[in-house]
Amino acid sequence: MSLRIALHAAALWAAAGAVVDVTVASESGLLQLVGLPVAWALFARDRGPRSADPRWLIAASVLALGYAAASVGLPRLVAVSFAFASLGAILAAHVREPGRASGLFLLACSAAPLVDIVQALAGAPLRAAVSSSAAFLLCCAGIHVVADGVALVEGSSTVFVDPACSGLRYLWCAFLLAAVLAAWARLDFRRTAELVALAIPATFVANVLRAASLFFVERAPLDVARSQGIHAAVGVAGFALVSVLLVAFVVQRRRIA
Amino acid sequence: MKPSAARFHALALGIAALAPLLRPARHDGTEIENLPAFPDAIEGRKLVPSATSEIEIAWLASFPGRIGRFSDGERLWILRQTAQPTLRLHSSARCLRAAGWEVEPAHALRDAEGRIWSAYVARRSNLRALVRERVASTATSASWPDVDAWRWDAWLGRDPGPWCAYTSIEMQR
Repeated sequence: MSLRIALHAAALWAAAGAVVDVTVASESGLLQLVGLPVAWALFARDRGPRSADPRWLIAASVLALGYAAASVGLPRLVAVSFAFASLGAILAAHVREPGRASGLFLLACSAAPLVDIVQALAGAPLRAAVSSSAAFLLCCAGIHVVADGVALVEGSSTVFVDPACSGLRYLWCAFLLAAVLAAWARLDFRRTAELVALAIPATFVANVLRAASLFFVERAPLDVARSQGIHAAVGVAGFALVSVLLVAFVVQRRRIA
Repeated sequence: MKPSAARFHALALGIAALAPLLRPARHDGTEIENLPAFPDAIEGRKLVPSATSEIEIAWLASFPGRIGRFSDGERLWILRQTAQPTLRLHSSARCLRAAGWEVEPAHALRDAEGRIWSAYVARRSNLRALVRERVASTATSASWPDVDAWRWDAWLGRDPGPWCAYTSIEMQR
């Protein structure tokens, strides 16, 4: 079993260079890879004699073929995505406790260093959506704010929804949390998918609330250090809301099961 | 476990291990036709061309456009021009991080002409720099506070381009 996993990882050798290049230049650095060691730690704890689940083994093989195809002609990060997914699938194939398989797979997928490229591709539309939604919320609260692209405008003041506020890192953290919860609660594939599907709108709403709250902070004459402290606190509070929702979902699903 | 699944897995691993060797070499970006000349001055200060550093050489390797490095006496300016919406025009923060700088976001800035710049602070050893960045169309009056905001408008054809990304690096004490 360990030999098969080691050979599988070794076959994906070319992805390592791309991972190093991306993480060195990335804002999140090595932290975005945390899902992989967590997946390995959970796998090692549960490892034991069991023949590989053929469905996950075939999935790992198909994903490895996807990596191979992407390696020839597509951007390197596409190949890297397939590599991490296939690593997750091979761990899921061999974990002794089948209930942990989906969570392990999701943990490995969360480690793919894609935050920066997704930010480049989807950051601006997300920021515009956050800006529009926050403007709507603020108008409902009686503050006449207009969304102008990625900015919130009130009279002559403009507050930017900058790239860090697009919500993508929120989403990545929620994805990672969903993976850990799925592995801990031994959720099957369908419930794991439901959990991930819940995380997406939950993080968007939390980010809109964050942007609307920070509008008031940015309008006030605060020094940079205090402003950054408040930014961080509001961000943590927003993510706490998402976490409570995801945990409640998992607890409820465990009761039904 | 079915032997066929194991055999399929072994075959897939063999293909995966060999496939990267078939990847074609990347071509250098050379599309600098139809790009206007770099400006002579920015914000009333004359630009003096400087030697290209290792950062710009790395950018140039596959950049579909032209990169220029200038000094105005107080700040270093890096100008990147391109005529196509490309992922290879990315925030300068990525390149600075790759060169070993730590980058912290800063508040966006509005200059004397009302143009908005995204900003961040870069630190390395005992060096500290304020970096401002914006993208502007060379054909219209459109501008964007950061590269991500520019990219979608360029992809959707909302501005014909070409475009120039202005990065200003001001060393601070």
